[in-house]
Amino acid sequence: MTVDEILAQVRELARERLGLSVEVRAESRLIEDLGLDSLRLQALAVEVENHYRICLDPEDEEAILTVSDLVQTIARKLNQK
Amino acid sequence: MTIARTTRTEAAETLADALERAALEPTAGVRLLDRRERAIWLPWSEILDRAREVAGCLAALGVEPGDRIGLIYATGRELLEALFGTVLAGAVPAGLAPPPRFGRLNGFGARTSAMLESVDARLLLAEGRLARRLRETVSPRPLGCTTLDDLPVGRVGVSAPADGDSLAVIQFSSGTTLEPKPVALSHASVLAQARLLNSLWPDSVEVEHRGLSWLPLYHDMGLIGCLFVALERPGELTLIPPDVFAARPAVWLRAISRYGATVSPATNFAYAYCVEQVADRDLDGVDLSSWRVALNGAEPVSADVMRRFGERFGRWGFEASALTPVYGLAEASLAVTFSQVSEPFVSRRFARDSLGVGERVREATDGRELVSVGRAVPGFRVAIRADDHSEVQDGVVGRIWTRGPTLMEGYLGQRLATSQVLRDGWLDTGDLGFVHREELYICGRLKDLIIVRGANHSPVEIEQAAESVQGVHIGGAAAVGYLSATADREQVLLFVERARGASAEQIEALPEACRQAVLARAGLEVDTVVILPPESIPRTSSGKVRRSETLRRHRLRELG
Repeated sequence: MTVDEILAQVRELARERLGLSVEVRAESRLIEDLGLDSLRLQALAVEVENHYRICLDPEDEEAILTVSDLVQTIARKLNQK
Repeated sequence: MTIARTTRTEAAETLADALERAALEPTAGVRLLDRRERAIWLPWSEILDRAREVAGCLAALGVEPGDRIGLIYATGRELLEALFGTVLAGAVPAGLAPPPRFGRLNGFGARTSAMLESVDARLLLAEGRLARRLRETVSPRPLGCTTLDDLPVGRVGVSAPADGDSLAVIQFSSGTTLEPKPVALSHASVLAQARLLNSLWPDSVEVEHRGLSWLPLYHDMGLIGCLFVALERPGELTLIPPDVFAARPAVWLRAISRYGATVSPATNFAYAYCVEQVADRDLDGVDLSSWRVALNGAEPVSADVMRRFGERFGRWGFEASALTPVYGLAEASLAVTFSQVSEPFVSRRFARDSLGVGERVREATDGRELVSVGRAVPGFRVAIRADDHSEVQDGVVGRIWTRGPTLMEGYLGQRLATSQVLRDGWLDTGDLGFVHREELYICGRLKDLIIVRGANHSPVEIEQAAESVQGVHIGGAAAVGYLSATADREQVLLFVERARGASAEQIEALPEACRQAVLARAGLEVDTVVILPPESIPRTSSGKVRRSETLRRHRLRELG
């Protein structure tokens, strides 16, 4: 799966499952730009893990500040599978 | 099974006794759902076997009776093993929240370390991946941070020498400060509280109660109100990880239907969240008619939310009379008052200007709607007191004090903080309320705590975030939470004084800048930002902002 495909899917998850109406761009910051509070960050993490059947590590998560960071991490996890 | 229950002779004295007794009940246990709604079933006997192994390993590591052990786990098998293993080793578990998802682990490490130090924890047990990450920053002396898998092999079957009066668990309670206080509860208290709750929904010929919960087990309503209640009964409990509920609240309702749960508590936020988030298509084939006790507690209760929840899910068999507003706090082990379990909830409107401390409340059709949280649970008493601690008459607003068999021993190692809330066997809850027609109504909190979407926030944390914004007067922020008549959850209102000499552009940008700063630093959305001239927030003589007074003046349009 390409990074662009993953980005499109993450957008879809954000719209469908989290009900986000703001535009989700690769450079969008999860908190500052998308306005995700701690509850919705939790929901996003669960949706991503469920959708891709991966487990995000605390080490990875610390470095995830933007949508692009998240997409890159998903791509790496899928490659390791 | 009925025989086992009717012949149960004496009450368990410790959690270890209760676990051993529950293990004799073959049909009782815990069902764990994962994020794909797959279930595993753990009878209490299996939890006991595994807990004995863990207790032996802990002893081999050097854990001694009375030692405090921090636990950080998501809801799952490992948490149950670590929790009951700790108990069987005679040690004292202190459950802590897992870190927030994405970013920001640094603040978490510092907070967690401070909490562990405050209870003199000698060991932190955490899930594998988290333990590896935390080890560098959070490492209590002398035993450090480790996982169940990394424990040394020990002799199985170590049993706890604890008696009923010894310390059973530590619950962290959020106060006004940034540091939550460690509430110390004895075995006798937590078991008496569990028994008390079980007595409020006795089994009958028609119904054998089954619990279900997504509440976190590091929180009193989850740990004592659900897990220990099921252990004491002994009965069946289905557990859903809290983050799964956050992502898909329909999982909660589907699980109630699938497993025929009869008792499931939650917070006001959760009921509102379901109304807002759950779609009809998520509920195919769902039947909620088994749900007899839908407790609503731990947060201000909104009548409107309960009405909407009842209306929304009535189509799926939900009985609105199941909604049961309750009141309690960690310092009392949990429940203090309960409304009638099988009756519709009661709400009344009171004139807004009659709800201040020392006022006599008046019913008024255009007043603020408050929900009754019922009467004291068996063994408890509630008193409303004035500032000088004298009891006031029914109908007068004051501080809520309570007395009962399951009050905490105190805040662990904090004599001064304990003496401020525990006096002559009575607990000062820090909440404001009144008794009307023999039922308790809560109308405010002295503690200023803000509870939004299930998370507790200290106003200090929010104010500090706002004060970091350029153009805000230093020390010129006041954050308050309140439940308005029209909103279904607590609204966060932030009052901000603009700095002297702030430019027009700066002032214009302040609301958005403050919102952003609070979201980034405190993880919470502010609903309304009110910009005020300097020196318009009321303060105490020592210069502290008076939050509820600020809100009161704002409502009367007397500010700025």
